[in-house]
Amino acid sequence: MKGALPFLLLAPALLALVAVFVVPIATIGRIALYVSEGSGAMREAVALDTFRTLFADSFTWELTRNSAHLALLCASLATLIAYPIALFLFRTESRFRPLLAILAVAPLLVSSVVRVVGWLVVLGDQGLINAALLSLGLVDRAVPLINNWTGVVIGLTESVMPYVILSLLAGFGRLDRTVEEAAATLGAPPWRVFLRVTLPLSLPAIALGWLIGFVLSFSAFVSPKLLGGGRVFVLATEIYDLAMQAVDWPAAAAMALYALSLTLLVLAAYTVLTRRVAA
Amino acid sequence: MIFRALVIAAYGFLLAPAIFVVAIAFSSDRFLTFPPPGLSLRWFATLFEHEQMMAAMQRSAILAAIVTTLSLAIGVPAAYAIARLRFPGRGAIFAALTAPLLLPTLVVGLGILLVFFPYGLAGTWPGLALAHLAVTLPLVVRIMTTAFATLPPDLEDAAATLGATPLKVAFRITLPLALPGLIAAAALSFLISFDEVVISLFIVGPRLSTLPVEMYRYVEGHTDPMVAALAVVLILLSISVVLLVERLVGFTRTVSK
Amino acid sequence: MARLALEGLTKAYGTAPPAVDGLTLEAEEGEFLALLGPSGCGKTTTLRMVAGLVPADRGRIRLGEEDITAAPVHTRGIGLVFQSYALFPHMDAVGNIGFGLEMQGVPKAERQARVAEALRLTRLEGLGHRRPRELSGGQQQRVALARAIAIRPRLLLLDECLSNLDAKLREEMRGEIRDIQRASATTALFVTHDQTEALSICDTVAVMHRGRIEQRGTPEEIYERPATRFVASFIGRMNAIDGPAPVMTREGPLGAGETAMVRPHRVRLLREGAAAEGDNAASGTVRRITYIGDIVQVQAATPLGPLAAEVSGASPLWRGLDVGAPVGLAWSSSDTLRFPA
Ligand SMILES: Nc1ncnc2c1ncn2[C@@H]1O[C@H](COP(=O)(O)OP(=O)(O)O)[C@@H](O)[C@H]1O
Ligand SMILES: [Mg+2]
Repeated sequence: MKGALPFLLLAPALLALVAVFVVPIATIGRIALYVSEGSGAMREAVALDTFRTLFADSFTWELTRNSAHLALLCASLATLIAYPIALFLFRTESRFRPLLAILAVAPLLVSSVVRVVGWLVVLGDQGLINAALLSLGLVDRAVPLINNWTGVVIGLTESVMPYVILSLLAGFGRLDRTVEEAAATLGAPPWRVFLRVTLPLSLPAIALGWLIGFVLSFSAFVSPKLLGGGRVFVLATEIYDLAMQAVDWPAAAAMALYALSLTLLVLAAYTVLTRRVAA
Repeated sequence: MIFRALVIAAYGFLLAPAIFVVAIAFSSDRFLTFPPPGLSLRWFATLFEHEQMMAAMQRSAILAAIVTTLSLAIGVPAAYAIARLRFPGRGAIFAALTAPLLLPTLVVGLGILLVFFPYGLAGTWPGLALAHLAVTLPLVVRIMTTAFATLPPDLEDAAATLGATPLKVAFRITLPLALPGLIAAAALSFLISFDEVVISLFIVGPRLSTLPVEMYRYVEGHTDPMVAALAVVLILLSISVVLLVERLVGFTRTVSK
Repeated sequence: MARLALEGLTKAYGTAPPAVDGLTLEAEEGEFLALLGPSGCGKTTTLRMVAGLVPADRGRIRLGEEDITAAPVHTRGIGLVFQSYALFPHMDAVGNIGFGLEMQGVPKAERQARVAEALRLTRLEGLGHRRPRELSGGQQQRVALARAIAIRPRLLLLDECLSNLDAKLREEMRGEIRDIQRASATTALFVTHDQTEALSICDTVAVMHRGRIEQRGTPEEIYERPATRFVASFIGRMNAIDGPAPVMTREGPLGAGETAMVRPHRVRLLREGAAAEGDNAASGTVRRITYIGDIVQVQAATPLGPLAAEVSGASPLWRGLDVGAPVGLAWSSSDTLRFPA
């Protein structure tokens, strides 16, 4: 009886996990081996045709480059912008800290579609930025900030920022105020304290934050789709289009598997690297 | 000083979309024009008369309530076992149950479509509710495992020596003490399910669509301030949930270490 | 209120040497028994096995006529006061104290009366509606005690329950715990690593070492007639002289592979030239003079090794004595114990 209790408590969760996670991922693997017969039909098989087509298509490589590029850019920008916020939250003793902490992760609490609408308002042709630029006479025609890569990079950077902030905060554990104070008493001006003490000590946090930003941006869907206005193609948008527009499930599954493997590869590389650095 | 300016600028960037979408929702114009030529509530009126959106909102609320109940009912016992009981493979089970948080939602969504479609689960209530579990359950397990693991030591033992049966210990001591975590987990699960769009896009059906999906499709087609009004409604909903939780237990304690 | 008997109780965590190793111990009905031992010797583990919180690997636990070795915790009716107090933070003092009665299904009116009684016994009147965090350390300690005795336990277990209090409060609480235990005539097992605490309030002391009982006896027996070298050195201060050496002990002359032990306050301090009395003597030079409350300890280097003598602070013997001065030390063989090294 006693030995069965953990199992009884865990069983429903494990069953749910199998139903909505394990089996779906396995099914993607299985259907990637089917053969597509056009217009939504597919034939049960164990064939590598779909993968052959996938890797022979130069579009696949373009999508990979696009996704990687986008993720690199957004992860870096998000880490750069999130760092001051995280450091501030880590240190402040303000009684508004709780409120400021909530604001920092607030974007997580609204739908990604809502945030896209917000960026349309800010970046649109008649939006805030263009209105400001035009009225200041800096430009004489609206600068296209949406329906292109610019919009996607801006929107996606913002949408992964809360996760980056949380990772940075989690990683700041080793950052000890007294060490910075020690450096200051030894005669280091604030900017040198930052460069010589704070920044090196927060490198692990930065690496973690960047990784989270990268992984999330790499497979992001809503921002590239809606802010890209159909002109930004990445792996995620293509997987969706293959599955829902072209209804070519084997192709969608193969590409999903490919994108998933790339994500896992990045995660594995990070794990290996941090182990090596720690050792 | 430079640091402070950087922090303010970073917050500005982070919150810009939310702030300006509120401004534009009260516009009298037909487009997302900035600054709004005039103020009006016409887009809120349009939104509330938009039957499809209103029906979707109601469905999403019901769905979120179902998903939250399910995730707690399934996730809380699992988290309890992981945090408070000793058995082989604890760490591995925790890792497995929280792994979906780390992998691309889009891929999970596609997988769920491929599995659910042949069984006719796509576009059905059970199908949607189950699919949302893929994102809410790992979160509940993670929050509640922490909540249970950080309970003060000895309290459950003390209750047992005072004659409380294991069931009484759970309901009189463990759950009340884990209540802050429980409420936070419930609120997050509700909001996440209510806002979920990626997985939903794969498995909603023509007759059963959720609010974020309707909104996604609307934005693909038009850009008028009605979606801004809708965005404001959703932001207000999130703020109310956060305030409610804050009122009950101090949400801030759960997000800020 | 029942007799407690532990027979060959054993518990090992993982592969480490057993935390409790074949422990056998009895506490008579109404007895206040101290379980005294250094940190890590297995005291808490023993208490938790008795309470039913940790299953014993081997051995029996008998309470009265009943074998409770395998009984579930909540059926044992044993009051346990935790070192951390383990008060329920979401209940006030009354809620905490009444919890056990509620679990027993005691009707509300009686419950209230018994909670009030427990509050009175522990001098907590008027504080019943405070939450634990609104109480001082001493008050929390009392609530923990009140909660444990409110269920009228057959046995009361106290796990280093005074160690979080400051010295003065600790002394006060010792007396109170003793009074409460006596008034209720509850058999009690009082765990501590503090010998003063154990010797001053308990009827009987059991000295524990590496998961076993080394000696069980009255405070006087333990102090005057330690059964093992460990007990001798753990309780009170002790001089140790390794044999072979020209030292006479109660049991005869000190040979190789043996250690002689004598308490510093039984060693007399002799000024230079004074005739040695007693059958053991050594001369040496003063190394250090230390005040320990109202006694003074003089440590000297002698051919037998370092030896200490203690005299009253009021004694003229140590006045004018400086580090480096020659002194003589003398003690009687009847105060000298001998143990295998
Ligand atoms: N839950 C546990 N898991 C593993 N080892 C433990 C556990 N509890 C106690 N121990 C070990 O058992 C030994 C005895 O511990 P304990 O009974 O707490 O001693 P005491 O209360 O006398 O200080 C110690 O070495 C301790 O490290
Ligand atoms: Mg202990």
